Amino acid sequence: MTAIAAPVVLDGPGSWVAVRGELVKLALQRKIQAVLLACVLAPFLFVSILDMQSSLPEDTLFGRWVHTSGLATPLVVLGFVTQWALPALTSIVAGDIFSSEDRYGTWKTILTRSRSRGEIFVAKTLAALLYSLGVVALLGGASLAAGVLLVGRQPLVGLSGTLIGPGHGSVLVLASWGSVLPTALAFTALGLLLSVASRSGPVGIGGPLVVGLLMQLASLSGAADPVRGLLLSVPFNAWHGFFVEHPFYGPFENGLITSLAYFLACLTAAYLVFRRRDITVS
Amino acid sequence: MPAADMSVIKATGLVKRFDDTLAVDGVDLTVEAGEIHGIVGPNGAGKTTVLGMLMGLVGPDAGTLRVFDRSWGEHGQRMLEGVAGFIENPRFYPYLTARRNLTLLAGLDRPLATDRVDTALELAGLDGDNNGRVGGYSLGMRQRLGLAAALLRNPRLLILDEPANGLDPAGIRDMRDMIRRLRTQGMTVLLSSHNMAEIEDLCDNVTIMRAGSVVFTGSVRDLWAQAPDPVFHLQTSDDDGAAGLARAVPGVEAEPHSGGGLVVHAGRERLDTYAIELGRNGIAIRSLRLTRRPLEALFFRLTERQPDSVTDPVPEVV
Repeated sequence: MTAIAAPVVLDGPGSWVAVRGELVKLALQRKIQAVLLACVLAPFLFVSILDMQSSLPEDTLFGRWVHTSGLATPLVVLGFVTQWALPALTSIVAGDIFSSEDRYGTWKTILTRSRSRGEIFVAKTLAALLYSLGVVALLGGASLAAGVLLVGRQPLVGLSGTLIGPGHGSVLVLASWGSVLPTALAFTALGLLLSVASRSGPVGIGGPLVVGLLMQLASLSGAADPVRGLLLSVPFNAWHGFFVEHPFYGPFENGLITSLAYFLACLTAAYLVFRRRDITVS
Repeated sequence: MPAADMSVIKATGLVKRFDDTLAVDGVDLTVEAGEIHGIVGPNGAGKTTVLGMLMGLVGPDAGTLRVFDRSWGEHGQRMLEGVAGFIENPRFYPYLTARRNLTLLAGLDRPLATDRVDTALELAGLDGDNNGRVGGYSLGMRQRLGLAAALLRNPRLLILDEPANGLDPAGIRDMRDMIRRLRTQGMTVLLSSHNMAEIEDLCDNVTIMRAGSVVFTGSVRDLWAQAPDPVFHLQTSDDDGAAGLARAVPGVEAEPHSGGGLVVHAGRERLDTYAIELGRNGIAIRSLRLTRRPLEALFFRLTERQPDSVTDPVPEVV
């Protein structure tokens, strides 16, 4: 018998103090501060650099419109970050939030207090998810702000060639960023699982990035068509359907199911591993 | 609150295996309310694993374990209500200050103990030095912080693994004084140590472990009853004469020491008699040094280990 089981119960304000404690720990780490600051500044830097050069990133969706509509900026950034940056950014916390306790040797410090393993697991998971949510919100918000402030709020040419007004365009931009959130959270859950199972920060942080890149490669191959619906990288592109004359949401709905499946499977596995492990103290 | 006759800790037949290593093999341990109980053994004896079981970090493969009559199976984390301490060196988040570390830990306690942070820092002697990051702390300061983190829970059972580790002599004295003071306030203390002098100094009862098993459990007084005479290194103005005189004093054995002088086995009273006889016979004592404490000698006998760095430096008595 190695299980030290306890039900997951958020039984009052104290449990949320544990969540807040995890968020405080994150907020006081320089690397996290640097990442969040970069999420805010990078889009402005990106637009400024584009402004200084005559060529356009025409090989990306909406790249040719970055000088003519500020609404194109957040979409170009979105296309870029879903290639690899979102799995990497979300894993910086998720992939290390459990393994850092192994690295610092602090499991024995926190697991001998009053909170059960289930509560600690929930607190860390919520903190990682909130961080991922924050990264997506900051990147999306800063990209939109950078585009609107530095380029302007002109109409955007959609993927069908029709003009999309600034108001509707802004809503679609926000919806596009929102559409990648479930997949970003699924990558977060994958990072949490790798962090718990490997007890290694590099594995937890690098693992989701590698998995994401491999899935991207697989999605480019026709041989992967039968399992295309299982690839977590595919839902990152579901927002393309929002910008055609007759929008389609099937890829988004399928991606939502895929992301949810990954999310639940990874968190369940992580919890089972976590609740059963012995904290060997030597 | 346990009934007056209820053991604070009652462990029976604890077994723990890590892969092919049998770390704990049928350990029984009983700790009564209000006592200071020592648990000693050489490295690898299994004492830290037993402490880990008591604090819910390690699940036993077999056996029963109750703390304040609660068990993990029935009560989960609630088994640790009233229990606090640390295992091996206390560890904290190095990028945070002592105060921030304790505040975070206080948030994990029921009831929330955030209002006790200052008191705990003061009790551990860290009230004037808690604004630097813990990453820069010495081992001794981390030990103090570990104690502060434990006291934050206002425990009735304090579990301390090598609490004097890394402390300077003044820190060791303070730590021992505090443990005694906590006991007078009704706290039960389970203390692991390599140091038989510390056990002798602090504990009412002791459990000695070897290779995962208990080889002795009982009072320190019972342990003394089994202990051999202490061993001294004696240097005199006439070692040959002193050796001959030892044969005439009952209860004293003396043999030549390879580095000069004599190795003397004698209880305190017999040693007094022997010293007086030496003086009467015109043999001057140039030095007399305690080289092995009785409990330490018994510890080695029970755990079948050769003496190494197990004990404090023994002060010269003459």
